[in-house]
Amino acid sequence: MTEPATAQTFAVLPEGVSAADFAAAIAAFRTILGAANVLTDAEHLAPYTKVMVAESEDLHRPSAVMYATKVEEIQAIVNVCNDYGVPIWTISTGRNFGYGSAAPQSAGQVILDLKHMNRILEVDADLATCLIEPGVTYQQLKDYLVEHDIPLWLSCPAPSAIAGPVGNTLDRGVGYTPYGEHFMMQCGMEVVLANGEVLRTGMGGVPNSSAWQVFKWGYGPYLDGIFTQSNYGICTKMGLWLMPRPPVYKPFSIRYENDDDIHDIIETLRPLRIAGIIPNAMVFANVMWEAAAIMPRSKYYDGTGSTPDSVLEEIKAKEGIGAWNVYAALYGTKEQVAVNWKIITDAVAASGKGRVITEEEAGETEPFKYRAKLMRGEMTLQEFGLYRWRGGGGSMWFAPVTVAKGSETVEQTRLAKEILAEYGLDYVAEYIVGMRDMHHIIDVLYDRSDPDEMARAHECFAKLLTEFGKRGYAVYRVNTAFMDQSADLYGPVKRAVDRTLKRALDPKGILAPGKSGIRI
Amino acid sequence: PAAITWQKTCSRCHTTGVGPELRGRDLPPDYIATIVRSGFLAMPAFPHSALDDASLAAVAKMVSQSKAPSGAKNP
Repeated sequence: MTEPATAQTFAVLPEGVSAADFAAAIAAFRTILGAANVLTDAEHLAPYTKVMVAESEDLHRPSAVMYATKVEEIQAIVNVCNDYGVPIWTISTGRNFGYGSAAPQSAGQVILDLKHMNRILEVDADLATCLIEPGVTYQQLKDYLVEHDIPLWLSCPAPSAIAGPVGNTLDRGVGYTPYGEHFMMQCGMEVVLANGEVLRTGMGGVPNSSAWQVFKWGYGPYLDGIFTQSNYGICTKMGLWLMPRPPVYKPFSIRYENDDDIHDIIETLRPLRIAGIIPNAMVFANVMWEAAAIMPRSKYYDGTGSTPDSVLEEIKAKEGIGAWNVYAALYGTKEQVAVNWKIITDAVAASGKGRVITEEEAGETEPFKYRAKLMRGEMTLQEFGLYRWRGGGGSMWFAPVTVAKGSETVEQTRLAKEILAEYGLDYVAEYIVGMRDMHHIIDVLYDRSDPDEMARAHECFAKLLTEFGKRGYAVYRVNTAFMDQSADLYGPVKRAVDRTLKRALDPKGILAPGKSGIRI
Repeated sequence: PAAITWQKTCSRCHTTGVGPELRGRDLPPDYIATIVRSGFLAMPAFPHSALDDASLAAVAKMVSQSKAPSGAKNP
């Protein structure tokens, strides 16, 4: 038996909620879910307080966690939340490392953990679609496809095996295959609203429709987008498009020697990406990102502060790593791949820079091997080596949007490196290439066990946002500590509209207050 | 089941050099379980929803009793 909830049992309370009201809410949650699925003890909450952001975990400490598996349960839960003013922070698989992990934006929110809501509801092998619940992981979906011999591929982010499509897509995360822009490949959503109603988007509202997972827009205003990176509803089902397995898969790398080559890399490869010759979300990884996948920084440098350029030159020479390392792939029949391979290698040769490395040359070596896996949606956690580069558990993604033009990448790269160096941190970065945009992904790595370094990392991140903002650059996604500052970059009108929607859809403000800076 | 947990989750970091080698070190199961629940520095925490107590106990016991893989460097 779980102990009765009393005021004394809560380490943290939701903001503005009395201990008595919270105890009553917990009792009501237990009636809905059973006592074993509503927990307030330290042991069960500990995993949700593990964060990598550069501020105290006390600012993100949940008051309770509850596990739900049914839509009806979630409907009943939001009714209780409205009655008592209890805010809930919903997670699907909760692997949002570098963006806040599984912890709420502000202390005291109750975590609604949907990991157990993990049914694969449908995979349509002919239409290449699936419909899944929030707790489904990429590993689980991959296993399902293999077990049923369905020739479809996934697209996953680097935390692949332990992360999941619903949570990732709701934060508009990305992968590395031709289906790497995950929200673009999402089709149909089911959402529990704050008033307890269940909304199905697109064709999903039409009784007996067979088109929910094939036609995104439905009729009238298209709503799926307002449920991503927001707090307007709780997603309980999501449809995805999956890529047919191609007959031939050809991953390759191109190594560039100098920092400034980033300009020519973009100018050479952008036309090929826009034309679909290179169809996948290729990456341009810098020397430290590349090195982190295979070794800790201490192998070459055990000082504090930024890694000196001389050390980076040594790493490049001894480990055979470029200043920039391109990873891309071709997909299709043998003939299609051959035609496109010639176009790419001719373009690289004509540019006079870059050494092309094939899978045959790379063999079983890392990081080529894990890149080849990610570009076909296979499970690998090799890239978590990034967290070992400096160690200490500190990591925040600074991810400004960039246009695919050499001039802009040179400016962003220079600016980021300069600001990071000011705080003794490293420029560990890659560009993930969309059609016309790039996600400039910078891992702000620091030793979180060192309070001074943590304070510097926090200050550094704020300055990165500010200085990039002054030049018209803003991040596509951010951790829970910097959601308000990031929201400000998009202007007061946007924030006001976000708030208007929030007040209309969630008048008591019970759903994840603070997400993307949105509150009532 | 413990072998599957190891293979699909733990081993992806702990046999690839991302995290330290755990096998053949006689690590106490309780210690392993504590680290898994709390996370430790670069290592993320795993909630009960991702790995229940029984599964965690089983994989911790398996790791604790495992032998060092041949060719592995000493920790």
